[in-house]
Order: sequence, then structure tokens, then C-alpha cells
Amino acid sequence: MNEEYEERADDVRVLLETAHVPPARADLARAVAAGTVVRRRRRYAAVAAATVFAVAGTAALGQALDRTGGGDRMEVPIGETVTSRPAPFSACTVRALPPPPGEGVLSGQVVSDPTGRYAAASLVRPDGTTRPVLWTDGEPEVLPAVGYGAQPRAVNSSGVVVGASSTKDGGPLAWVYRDGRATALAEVAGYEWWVPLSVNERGDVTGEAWRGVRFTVVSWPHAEPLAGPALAKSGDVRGSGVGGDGTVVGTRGEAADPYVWHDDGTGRALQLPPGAVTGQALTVRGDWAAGWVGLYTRTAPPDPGVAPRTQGGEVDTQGGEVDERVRDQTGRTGGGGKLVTAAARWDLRTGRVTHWPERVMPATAVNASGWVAAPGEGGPTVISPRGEVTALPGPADGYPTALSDDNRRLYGERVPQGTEAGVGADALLKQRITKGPATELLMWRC
Amino acid sequence: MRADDTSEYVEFVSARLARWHRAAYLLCGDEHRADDLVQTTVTRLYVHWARARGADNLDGYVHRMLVRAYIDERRLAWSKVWLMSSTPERGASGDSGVEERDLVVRALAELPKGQRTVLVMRFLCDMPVESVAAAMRCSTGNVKAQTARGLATLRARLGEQAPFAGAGTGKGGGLRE
Repeated sequence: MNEEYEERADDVRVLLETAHVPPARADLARAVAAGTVVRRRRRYAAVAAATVFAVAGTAALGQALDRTGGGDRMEVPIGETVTSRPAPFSACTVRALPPPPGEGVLSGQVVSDPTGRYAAASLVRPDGTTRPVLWTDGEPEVLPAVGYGAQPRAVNSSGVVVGASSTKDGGPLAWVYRDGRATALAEVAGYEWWVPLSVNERGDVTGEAWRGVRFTVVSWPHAEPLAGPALAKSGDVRGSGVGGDGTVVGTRGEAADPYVWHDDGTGRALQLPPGAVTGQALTVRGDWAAGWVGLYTRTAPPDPGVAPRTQGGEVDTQGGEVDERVRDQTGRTGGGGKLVTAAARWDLRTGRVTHWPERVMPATAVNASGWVAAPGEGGPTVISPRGEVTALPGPADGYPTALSDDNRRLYGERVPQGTEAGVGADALLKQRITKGPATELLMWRC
Repeated sequence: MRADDTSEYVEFVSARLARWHRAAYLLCGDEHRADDLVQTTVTRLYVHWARARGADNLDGYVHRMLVRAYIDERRLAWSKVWLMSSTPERGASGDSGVEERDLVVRALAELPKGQRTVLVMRFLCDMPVESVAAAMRCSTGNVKAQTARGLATLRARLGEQAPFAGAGTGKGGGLRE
């Protein structure tokens, strides 16, 4: 019986081969970089290999702003009629965050404090070693080395930086940089890996630790970074962002529903808009979290090349565009629904969600007053609490990751989105491999 | 790892990424989770590349890693170090933001996890019964039984919705669209 079935399985082979699947987005450069972090004993050779990638990308890196940014888009926007008080983001300028002179290439994600004065990222030096870099008002300073492959993860408004490295043996190493000195944070007993994700104004550090599928929130008090950190039970949740007050956002459960929890272990589900089947909060600040939701719709999304560049457009957050969408976990939407993602923001006081169906990229930064920043196919934008969308100047592949509370400064990086005509997934992958860990970091002043 | 080894790794993986992603997507039915599974697998492969490249059947080795990652749904520490927070690949819908689920994907999604896994591993990844059993940590008899049930259910589901015109002919027939 079995054999009989299996002899005829050629039909199923064909079906599996021809089923429509979305494009792959695995990132080899990241696999190499991340794999390097944990590989034991071969560290030096491996980092050297990563540096080969980085150096290969340096030339392109240097030219990229000039070439792709388009000269006029790098300038202050012209034509605005400022009267008494300028509207936020009406006159932003953008520039690349400068690496320390002659030191290597920048790498990783840029993080910033709530005032926007400080920013931090990593520097891969010509000898293959990695050092944290702290910018103060755009001026870089190389910080002392802590472990291997140091990645800053957060900075507070006093310039205290926390980050993650690995030990000589490939184990996790969390650290804090304060008053000119870098100090290791205590190990998290019983867990395989841990990473600090935020530092509040007092200097308390909050992060996450995990072992297999078990995750927990970790708190290192500022006064005793070497004492055993406090752990909170958080169950089947996965964090992606932490606010300075120990609030963690992420997802919960198999269905990956957006969720928020606190370092005391309590938490709550975040709302999904009607028709949405999934979503994720990526970042949090104060009472606000930002990320994305995924909804099914039978209506094609509006032309993304036009809508995101519209300035000051009022957005109907409840959407007329997606009335047809049907909540259905298995995708059995009538007539064949399409899953579209939309930028979203949650009010953590109520759990209420606001989403922008015409923005397919996630909201990637949020500030204390609920403004969000989001990349997009037409270029990065900021969205006001009322839903007004304002385009940011600079390269269209600018990917904002931090927005200051006063709306005066943003940080981000350039991320190819593969939307240019003729650039397929393969070319994009090759580009990423070539660029390796080198990242072009951006600073917007508004 | 020497630069040569890294180049070899990149070459090997680049040629197979699309295939692994297809398998991952058919397994889990979700674009983002599929990306996670593949990213986890290629990261793990890089870590173990020196050992893996000497494997008798490297493709089989990777397929086993992939299915284990799917079954365990483990989130690896090293992928998370970089994936944390607002990385572009997560959540971003990318090029089009649109995913058209076709009939086959939907029919697969309705199968029990075990049946779906054996069908994808055996008929997309061409893994022999014994390897699937080892990866799933079950008996070969169990794999065979799940294969039979999965095939029957899949055919019945698809047969309800469209004529199975292309069965066994090397074409999808009228099943797509």
C-alpha cells in the first residue's frame, strides 16, 4: 500500500517544486558574521575572513552616498515657507556618520539615546578586531575593547553604552561602558546566551537570556553589575525591543502574536487590527511600541512608489483599502487572499493598535510622544501621532532605527531593499555578501 | 576559518538557498518563519562548516539540520545576536509585500505537521525514508505511514478544488491559479 502510493508520488514532487513561494531573504553575510561570533578557537582566522568582505565593500561604501543618494536629495529641502514655528521634519538634513579617521569600516546597527545626542555602533578594524564606537553630536570616539566582536545595543542620555560581545571561548559577554571604562556584566547562570538590550537613565540594564526555547528577561542593577542579575519568568515570548523602564516588546506563542511584558514577569497581548493574523512589535519607547502587522486582503496594495512620499497626507488608520480582508490563520481566504504587511504602532497604556496599510515596511523607531519612523520603497518617512506622513531626505534605502524624543534627530543605516528594477534576489544576495558587515550609517538632523 | 573555506561555504550555500527556502516555506507556511529557519540553518552550517564539508552527503546533512530546526523551533543564540530589534529582514515584507498562497501551499498547511514534514522532506528534498526517520526521531514505519496518509490527504484536498489533470505527467496541470 505504501509503496503503491509512493510510486505515484511524482505528481506531488511536481506540485512541491512548482508551488508559489515568496522570495528567500536569508542573509549569508549575517550568517557568516553571526556564526563567527560563536565559533570557538577559530576566531582570529574567521574574523580576518569577515574583514576581507568588509574591505571589499569599502570602495563601494565610500561612493555610495554620492552615487545613489542623488545630490539634490542630500541637501536641505527647498521651498518650505517657515513662518513662526516650523513643522517637525520640514527641514531635515542627512549625512553619513563618520567613522573614526583611518580606523576601518563601520558595522552593525546604530543605536541612539532618547535625546539623539549619542549614537553607537561597531567598527571593524583592518586587523579584524571589532571595537565599539560612540558618537557625541556626530563626533566619533573609539571605546575600549570588551571581548570579541563587540556590538553596542543601547545608549542612554548620559552616554552610558551597553553591548554584547563574546568571550575568548565563544560564550556570551555583556558589558557596560561608563565613565571612560568598560565593565563586564555578570553572567546569567543556567542560560546559554544573553544580551543587554537597554539601559535606563539611572544606568540599570535590561536584556534577555535564553536557553533553547526558554527565554527570560534579565535585569542588571546599575550599582552592582557584577551581582547575579534578576530573572523574570516570561514563558513562550520572544523579545525584539526593550524600553528603558524594563518593558520588553516582541511576540508570544506559536502564532507569534504581538506581546508586551515587564521585568516583573507580567505582560499583555497587543491588539491586532481587524483582518490581521500576525504582527510584531520591534521597538519600544515610553508608552509606545512600533513594528508591523500582517493582514490578508483581496485588494492589491496601493502603489508603494507613490503613497509613501506624500507629505502631510491624512491616513485612515482603520483602512478602506482592506475591507475585504478575512482573519484566517491558515490562509484559506476566499478567492485567494494576499498577505500584506503594514507598519503599526501600539499604545501600551491601552494595547490599541494603529496601522498604516499603505506602508508595507515596518515602523522601526518610535519616540516618547508616539512619532514613528519607517523605511519604505519610496524612501524613509516619519509618521505623526495623528497619522501625517512626512518624507525624510536622503537615500531611498535609508532605514531609520532611532528617533529622538524631541523629533530633532534620527539615526539609521542604508539597507538595500531589492526594489530597484532589475535587481533580483540573487544580485541582492551577492551584493550583501560582497558588502559583508560594512554598514553605512546615517544621521538626520531636523 | 580560512578565507578559502568561507568562499567555499558561500558558493555552496548560494547555489542552494532558494531550494532550502522553498522547503522551509512549504514546511511552515509562513514567509518570515521560513526566513528564520533558513537563516538558523545557514548560520549553524557556517559554525560547523569544517566538519560538514567532509560529510558524505552534504545536502542530506543540511536538510536534516533544516528539518530539525523546524521541528524544534529553536531560536539560536547566534542568529538572535544580530536579528534582535529592528533588523530589516524581519517583518519587512520586502519587494512586493505580497504573498500569493497557492492551492498546494494551502493544502499542505492543512496537513498535520508530521505528514507535511515527511512529504516535503521525501519528495522535495529527496531524503530517503531512513534519513527522514532519523531527522524526525521516529521509526521508518512511522515515516512510511505518515507519507501514505499525507499523500492521500493532499491528493484528496487538491482533487476537491481542481481536476488533478497534471498528476504524474510532470506538469502541475490545472492546479495553479
